[in-house]
Amino acid sequence: MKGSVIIILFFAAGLTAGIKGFSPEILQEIDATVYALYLLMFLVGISVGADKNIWPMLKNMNLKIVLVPLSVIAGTLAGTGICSLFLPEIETADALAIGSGFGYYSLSSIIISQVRNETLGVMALLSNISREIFTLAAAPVLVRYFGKLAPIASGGATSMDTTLPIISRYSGREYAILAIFSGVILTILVPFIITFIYKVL
Amino acid sequence: MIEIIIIMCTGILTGIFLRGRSSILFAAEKLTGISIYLLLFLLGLSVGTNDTIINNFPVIGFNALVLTFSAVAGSVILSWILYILLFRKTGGA
Repeated sequence: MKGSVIIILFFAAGLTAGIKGFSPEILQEIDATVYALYLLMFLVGISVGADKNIWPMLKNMNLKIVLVPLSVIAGTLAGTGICSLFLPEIETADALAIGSGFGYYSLSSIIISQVRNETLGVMALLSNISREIFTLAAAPVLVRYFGKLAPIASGGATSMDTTLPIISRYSGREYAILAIFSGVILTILVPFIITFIYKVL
Repeated sequence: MIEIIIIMCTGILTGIFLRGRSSILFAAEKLTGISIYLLLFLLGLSVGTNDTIINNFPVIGFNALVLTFSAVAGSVILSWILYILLFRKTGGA
């Protein structure tokens, strides 16, 4: 949660600087964002590859467990896809891509602002932060009405870290492992799914 | 944008190779944090200098929330069906 606050503060600092008219041209000329994004993707890859806990987890998976992140992906795509039909100014591919952040707002907003434009990047940022905040706030209600998998589904990629404590508390500790598994899978898949959506649609 | 995937896969292979080299991995983690901060600062900066976004902020925010709601609703409903079919009786993993 502390990390989230710092990230928002950096975004807010940039926003304020931009509104105040601070805009160094050198950053636009060398297109710093692209290289910073490449560096970030490389580093995210390293942390995935080096994580000793991820591979045993992948080896022990069975169909029942895999269905959890799959249902989150399918449900998110179905929900945002249907929703885009009612939002005339949002294209379906953009709605699907924003949904496919699964709450991983730092990465999804950066990729989408790079691949598409800043307006959609900001939308991805706001939408995916809201997903995390909503999950933190609504976990008890979700469990009561939609079962113990509901906060894991709602949390998406965040169910492995920021929303894990609340999931563990309301769904029970035996669901914490499932939450970590689902969150790890979704976190790894975010860049792949967003890229795939824009490639295909 | 396919570059993004290639670079990430290269990173994963590098990560597997670097396993156990905790000082390098620690540095990589620090650098990850810094590059996320830098990128979001830059995103904020380009948003702040973009009048279209600033003027349309309420509309962007509204669309973002509607998308959040539909994403959560879709995934919660599907996971609910999955829970009833496979998990309710036998419990978690």
